[in-house]
Amino acid sequence: MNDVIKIEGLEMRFRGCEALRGVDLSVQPGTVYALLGENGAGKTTMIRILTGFQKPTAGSCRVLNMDPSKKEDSLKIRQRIGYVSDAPALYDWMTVGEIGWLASSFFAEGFVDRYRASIEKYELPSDRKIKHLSKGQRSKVALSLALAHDPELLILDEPTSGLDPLVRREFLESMITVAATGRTVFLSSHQIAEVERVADQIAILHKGRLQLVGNLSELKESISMVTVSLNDPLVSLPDPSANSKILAEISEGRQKQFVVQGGGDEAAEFWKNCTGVASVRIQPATLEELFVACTRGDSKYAHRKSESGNAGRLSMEAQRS
Amino acid sequence: MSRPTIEKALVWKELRQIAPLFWAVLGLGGGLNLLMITLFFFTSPADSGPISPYSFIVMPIIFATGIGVLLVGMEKENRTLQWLQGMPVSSAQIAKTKFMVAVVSLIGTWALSLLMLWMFRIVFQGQPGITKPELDSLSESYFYPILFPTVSFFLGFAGLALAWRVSSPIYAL
Repeated sequence: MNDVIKIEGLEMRFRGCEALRGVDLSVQPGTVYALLGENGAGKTTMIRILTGFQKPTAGSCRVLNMDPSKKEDSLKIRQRIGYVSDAPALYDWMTVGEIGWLASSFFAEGFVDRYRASIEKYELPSDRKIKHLSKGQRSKVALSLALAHDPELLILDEPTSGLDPLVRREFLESMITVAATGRTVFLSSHQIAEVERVADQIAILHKGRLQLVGNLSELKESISMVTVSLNDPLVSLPDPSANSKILAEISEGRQKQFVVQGGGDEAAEFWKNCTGVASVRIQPATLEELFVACTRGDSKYAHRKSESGNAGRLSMEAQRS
Repeated sequence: MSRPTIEKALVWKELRQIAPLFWAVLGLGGGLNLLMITLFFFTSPADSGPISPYSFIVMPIIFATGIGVLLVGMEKENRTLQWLQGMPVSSAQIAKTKFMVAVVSLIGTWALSLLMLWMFRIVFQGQPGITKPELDSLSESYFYPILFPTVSFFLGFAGLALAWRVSSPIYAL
């Protein structure tokens, strides 16, 4: 199957800053792919490279089998993708209808009809000026513009930031509808709950490196949170078997929490038999816990991963809030 | 709402963007001349002083100064240029359209200004309080048709280039 997005060894260096450090990623058609990461993780930089706004320092990037860093490919990519930025900047003085008319000149026939249908669905008056629209309504106009040419790939950069819960819900429902029609959605976000609702695949980006990539439901099934209560906080626990990869360790008094990938039951059983352990509890890890595990503290995990290709341990001695 | 060509849509957008500047300049130039005409007719010629045809030069010069900021600077500051560059249209075509609109609209402003000057001459020629040489000094001097339009086009192009390079429209201005 042809990848809609294929990124290999992508690096982006700015003066005094490494925004992306060897990112590999592939997005299959018809999926909702969520790129998670805290502010400054490199999400927007990656999206700017995908949309041809930025040339990478190193590595390769293909979007719909074209190279966005090439000028001629970049225009063709923009014909076939829809892009919504985190704060869409639209012409304030134009009306909702006028901006659709302007945008229609860049695309094939049918744009205007689809745009009109979309703004009617969102109950946006076409004669209302953009400056008189709320932030949520502007986002809906931006989404309508991005979808009206029926793009094969929709790229969204923090699409729901600053929107109220009701609008956010409507927006996410639109994403599910888009994906249901067979189109691919690539979105970046740090809103875990919303990603959990819509994404098929996730990738967690931290300090320019991908920490975790995979199918969301498979990841949630394979990753568990093991809580170990100790008799003495100074007791150190040995590592469990090689089948269990510890993604993160959180110490809180006499309690230690481990985010374990694969073999969670095995690890729990192993620690239960260790000296100084009062009790062991195992529960499925939420996406938020996964995200925290991958993005908090020193990125030891990432270094180990890059060295051995396996997950290492991310030590978090700080108190959990 | 039929689908326009890229050129038509971009020209429409640029013209709409410079419309406020055009109307402001027209209002300023027209208002200034109206004020002079009023003063000329309602005061004695000795009190009103010489009527300055320089007010006609002010219009295109102010227009030229502001056009770069309106066409490029404001778009950059409001990030609408970024939105436009995200569309399947080359930056060269965007820049070319802006340049063409700037040139044509500046020529248009000069034409309007000269038309007003011509009408001014017809109305005031031979009137007491204004002498022919006073008008001729501007309209018939070789200086006027060469220097001032050149200055205005230089201002317009420099404004466009600066607005493209400088992030703040105020600094560009």
